[in-house]
Amino acid sequence: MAFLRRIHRVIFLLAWVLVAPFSHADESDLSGMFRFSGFATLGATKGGNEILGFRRELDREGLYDGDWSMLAESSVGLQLDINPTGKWGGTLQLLGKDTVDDSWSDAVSWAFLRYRFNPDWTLRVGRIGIDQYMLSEYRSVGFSYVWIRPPMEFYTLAGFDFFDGMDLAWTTPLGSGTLMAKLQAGQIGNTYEVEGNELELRLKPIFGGTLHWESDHWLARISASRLRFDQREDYFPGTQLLAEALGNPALAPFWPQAAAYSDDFLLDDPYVHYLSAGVAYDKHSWQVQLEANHVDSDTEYYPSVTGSYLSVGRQIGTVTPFVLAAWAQSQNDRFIVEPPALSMYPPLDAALTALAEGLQTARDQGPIEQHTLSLGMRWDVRYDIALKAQWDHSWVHAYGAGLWEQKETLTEDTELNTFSLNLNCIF
Amino acid sequence: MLRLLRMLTLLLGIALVCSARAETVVVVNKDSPVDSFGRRELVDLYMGRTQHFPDGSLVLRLDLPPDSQARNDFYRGLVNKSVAEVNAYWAKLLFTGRASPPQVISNSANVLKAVRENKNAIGYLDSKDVDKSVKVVSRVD
Repeated sequence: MAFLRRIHRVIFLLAWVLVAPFSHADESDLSGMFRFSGFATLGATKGGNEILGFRRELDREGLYDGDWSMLAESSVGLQLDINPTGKWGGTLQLLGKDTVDDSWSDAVSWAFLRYRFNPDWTLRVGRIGIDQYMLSEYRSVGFSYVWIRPPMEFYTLAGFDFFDGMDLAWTTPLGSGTLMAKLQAGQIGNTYEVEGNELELRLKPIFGGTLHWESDHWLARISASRLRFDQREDYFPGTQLLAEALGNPALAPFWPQAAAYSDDFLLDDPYVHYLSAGVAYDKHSWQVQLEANHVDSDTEYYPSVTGSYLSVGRQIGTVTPFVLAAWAQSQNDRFIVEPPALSMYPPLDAALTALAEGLQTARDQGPIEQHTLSLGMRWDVRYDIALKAQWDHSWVHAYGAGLWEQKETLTEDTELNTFSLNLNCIF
Repeated sequence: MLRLLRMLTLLLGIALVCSARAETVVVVNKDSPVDSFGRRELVDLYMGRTQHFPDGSLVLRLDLPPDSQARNDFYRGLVNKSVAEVNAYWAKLLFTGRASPPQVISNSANVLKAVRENKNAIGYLDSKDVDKSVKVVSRVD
């Protein structure tokens, strides 16, 4: 069925592409009332091993055993912009990719109305891109950056591409460049795959602010956001069965800590804070980019992480080779579950042991500790087509594989290679 | 020695001729209040940082086709980027819904026509294609 749904989607998207007059503007109508455009990435990726599944984004299916896949990184986006007047406008963007749940509602990445009060102030209302990191709003548009994908250590955990709400932006000239300040507020609902289970995350409210300064050769930005899990006083999404089992009062005589372990899964202070800063430089054919972030969570089960990356590329004619290094590290030490006392009643002991192991697994598969070195190149075949190749070598520490889909807990340090080749275009 | 100098002069001359790009002129409607445009204002308009003239009126920005020499020369002169690089930059703005790129017009004659017919239009073309029906506000080379 998933395959049928996918085919259905592809046919719909193709129909859109075929009717879209994207190649040239209609010169008899220069009002720019309608504009159809799009972007696509067709890619082959080889990655993962027998335990860890490669996933570019949290809502993608994992790729295991060093297999090749055409679905892991391919995507197509279609956009319709409507500009009836200089003040009013609207944008609808559909993004097609192979996700865990094949949900149609998530295929709508943007759907917003825009109102420009004057050249400096703009308000948008609807489904809007969340402006968390430098590439957050265009991570799916492969043609717009040099790598195969935004660095996994930084961007995979940022699972939220869009929110439903509003944002207000103010721009002003500052020095040799332009400053944009933006405030965002709204809510998010999305589906992820965690340990083989689909789980629904609802975040409400979310607030964010961004300062973005850009000149001919420099870009600098900082952003901060605060997200709140909507399931207050409830268990962290996906942990309910385990938490309820641990909370059973009958366990207390054999396992006094069980009730406290159960409470750890409660979202009693369900806030996550994101802070990030980034700088990019582009001059004399050199492209250098650096970003650092800190994710601070008050929830035991959602990892507090620090990440950063540095990329250096050099354009030589139409080819840009690059090197990229990225790091991510959880803040907390490994959580060791205190084992239950044995009851001398074998069936109960087996159940207690299984519960303790399940809890240890749940606590071991969230943390992140890894770094990756990537080498690659982009070749601008034409003004609208780019071919890219990239090799990533990742060092993943034991109990630190939270960015990967995991068949079982990673108990030893592991090194993995990911190879990718893709074709990116805009139209 | 003299022959060597002559040879060097000749080679330099050839190199200069080969590297010289045609001059691109930026034009607006004759009735536009704008009389001249600095590089900064042009960059702001063509790189999507503003969509308004200094007086606050909305600008109709015109581009030539992506495979045309004039477009290549214009962006090379303005921001020292290839058309592919400029497209990659614009993809960020367009697909985040921040701004729409300039309208593509098929040739210089149609740019002149569109600028003549729209008071708020701005376009560019090879200096040899310009005529007196529009106002030249900037030169890029």
